[in-house]
Amino acid sequence: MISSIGILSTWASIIICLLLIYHKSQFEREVYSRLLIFNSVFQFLLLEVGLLTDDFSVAYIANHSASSTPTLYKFASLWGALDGSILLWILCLTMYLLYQVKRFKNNLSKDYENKIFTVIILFFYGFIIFQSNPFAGCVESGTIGCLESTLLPFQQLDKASIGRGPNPLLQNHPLMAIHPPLLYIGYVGLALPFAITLGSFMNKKREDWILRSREVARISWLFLTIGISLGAAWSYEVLGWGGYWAWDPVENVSFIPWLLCTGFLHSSIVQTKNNSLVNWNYVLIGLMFSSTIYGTFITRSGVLMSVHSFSNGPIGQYLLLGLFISLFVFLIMGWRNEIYFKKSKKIAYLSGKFGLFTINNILLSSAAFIVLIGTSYPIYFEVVNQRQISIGRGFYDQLIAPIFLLLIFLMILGVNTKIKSTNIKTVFEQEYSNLIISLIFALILSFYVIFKPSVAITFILCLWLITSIIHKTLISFKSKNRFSSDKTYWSGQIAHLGIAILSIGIIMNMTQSYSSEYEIGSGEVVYFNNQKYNIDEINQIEYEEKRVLTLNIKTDKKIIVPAINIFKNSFQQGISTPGIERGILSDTYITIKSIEGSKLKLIFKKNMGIQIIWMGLAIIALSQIWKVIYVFNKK
Amino acid sequence: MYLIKSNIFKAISIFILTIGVISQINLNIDQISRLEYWSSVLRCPVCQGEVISDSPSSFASDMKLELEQQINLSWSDNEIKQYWIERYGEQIITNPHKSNPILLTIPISISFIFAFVFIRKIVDR
Repeated sequence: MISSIGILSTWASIIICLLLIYHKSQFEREVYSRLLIFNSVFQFLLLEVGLLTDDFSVAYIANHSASSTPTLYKFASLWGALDGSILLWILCLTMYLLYQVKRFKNNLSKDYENKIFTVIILFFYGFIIFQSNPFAGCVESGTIGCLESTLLPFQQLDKASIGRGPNPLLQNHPLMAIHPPLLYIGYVGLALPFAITLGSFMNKKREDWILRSREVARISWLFLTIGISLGAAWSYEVLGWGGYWAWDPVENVSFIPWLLCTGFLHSSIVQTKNNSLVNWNYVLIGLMFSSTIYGTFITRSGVLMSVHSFSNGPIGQYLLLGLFISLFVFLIMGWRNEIYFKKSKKIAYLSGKFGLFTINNILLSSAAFIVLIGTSYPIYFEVVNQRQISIGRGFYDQLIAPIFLLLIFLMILGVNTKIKSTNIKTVFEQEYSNLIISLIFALILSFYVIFKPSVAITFILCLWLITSIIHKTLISFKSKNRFSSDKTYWSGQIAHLGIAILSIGIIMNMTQSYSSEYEIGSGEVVYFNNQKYNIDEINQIEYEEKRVLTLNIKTDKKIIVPAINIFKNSFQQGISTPGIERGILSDTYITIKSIEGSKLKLIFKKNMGIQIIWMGLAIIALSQIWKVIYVFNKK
Repeated sequence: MYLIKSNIFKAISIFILTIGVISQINLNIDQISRLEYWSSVLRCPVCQGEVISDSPSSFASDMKLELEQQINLSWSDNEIKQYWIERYGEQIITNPHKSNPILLTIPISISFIFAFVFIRKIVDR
């Protein structure tokens, strides 16, 4: 029943999309928009009902959920595989449609924007209808899961007796229920600035496209930041390798739009205040949207090996086609509005704030380009040479790290640089004392932290940035009106403070962490980092969906409990869940590598700076939450 | 002369001096072991894109043991690299940019050209 209702509902969505594209009056537009939103919410809830009630007559549910899966992970199974994740994608798109309908109600170019945005929604519904509908009914079930499905409603369905269950990695931590949806909200949101811009240019009503695009891009950026951060936390808590970022292709494709969007949030200010960089902002919005489609192509087409990619379906060609069409239309529209772009003013001084924003955009887009090359090169290498290669952390560390150091340096200059032109010498005069303080701090720290020149430079730059911001804050405290007058400036500075803290955490983690491996029996003692760890007996807990082997490791103050989860629906070896003793400067991170009879192989890691990384990320996110709330209250 | 007296010059000199001093303090501790280096370069072929130092799998562990033996037998970096490539193909190495400089020069030069053109077009001179 759920299958047929779902399929009919997706068909209905296609019809509503078409009606919305060809609507005649504002009333029709309002009605169809709301119907489309209602329908996508309905489809989401319907599939959730199917998942929670174990309706294995739906192929997707039979293949990606099981009766024994805990409720939270049943709920999260909706985005655990391709078909369902496209449904979540559409739900996010329609939420932005609702945002557009409500927020930009009286805008002149809204009609075109609405149509373009609907075409994007239609594009994804098209894929669902013709290729992989999450509501497809199961017509031939196997011993486990479903083997054959149908895209038509009211067919004779064969209910699978046992569901396959979700990928074990996806049911190992509650963050899996939060990280993908938040990331999607950010990722998908970049389609709306694209529609706003294209619509405004098609309709030749180009007064406020930049303001509205920035407003939406800021929301997208915020969710991308939170989504990526939670992904890092998940990786640290679940994968058992003690890291948070591996330059995995799928991480990279969420990072590329983040970098471009960060650039846009800065360059759009130059346009609104000085009418410069107009053509660049147009290009950037096109690139932001294309990078999300290209990223989906990488994630969902199965062209790359990654801990995230889970499909080998036909969506690859479909997405590439969509990417080429959207880029083509965007370029044509840019070309047709050439005269408008010629009015864009040049920037008078490279040393003023606008100049810094320009350099910042060059650096951020170069970083995005490098990540793109590193992610895509192996695909094209394989196509051309019929051989596989992989590009790992070394490549990115070597190329991206210098760019980030330069960005931090720009942030330092940005603390005191005035809007239009600033004498760089004056800025240095102001920064002189801050630099000296940070150098003294770095010298003291060097007795406790292992410094290479590159590490020393990072530390000093970050400390310098922190000192500058604190110094500026102290000065502003004296003049009472400073904080209330420029919230944009202060939200930016708080975000930069977060980036400095984040960078210190990252560099500490990269260079100061260490680990040891022990082969040991229960009841024995491990000495790691001058601390005694008593190894207890292995405990076994049986759940419906998994068997969990836990190990109590006692220190003087605390018990650390690493575990191995063996999922019954998976042929993979058990997933090792770490036991973590958290500290402000360092975590002790223990994973069980293997259990052979009474012998255990344990990995002890001292992970430096992890809590500092989370703190930095939290500060960045909070600064932008504050900013978004401020923007909403202002209007 | 003015330059030498200026605060900018002083600041930069102190900056460089501090980095030098700090690096000297830790000069001897800073040697990364060959085992650590190669563990962070070789990819675990049965894992999903992880290098062997990151992977908790027993396959990665076996690879690491073999690597340790090779390092104890004083194999050169090139010998180690060839051994693993012959066994598992080029994708076992995650730093192809070390042997293929085009991978580094292309993004760097394109970024520089982009920066040059961008500044010429955008900034009023």
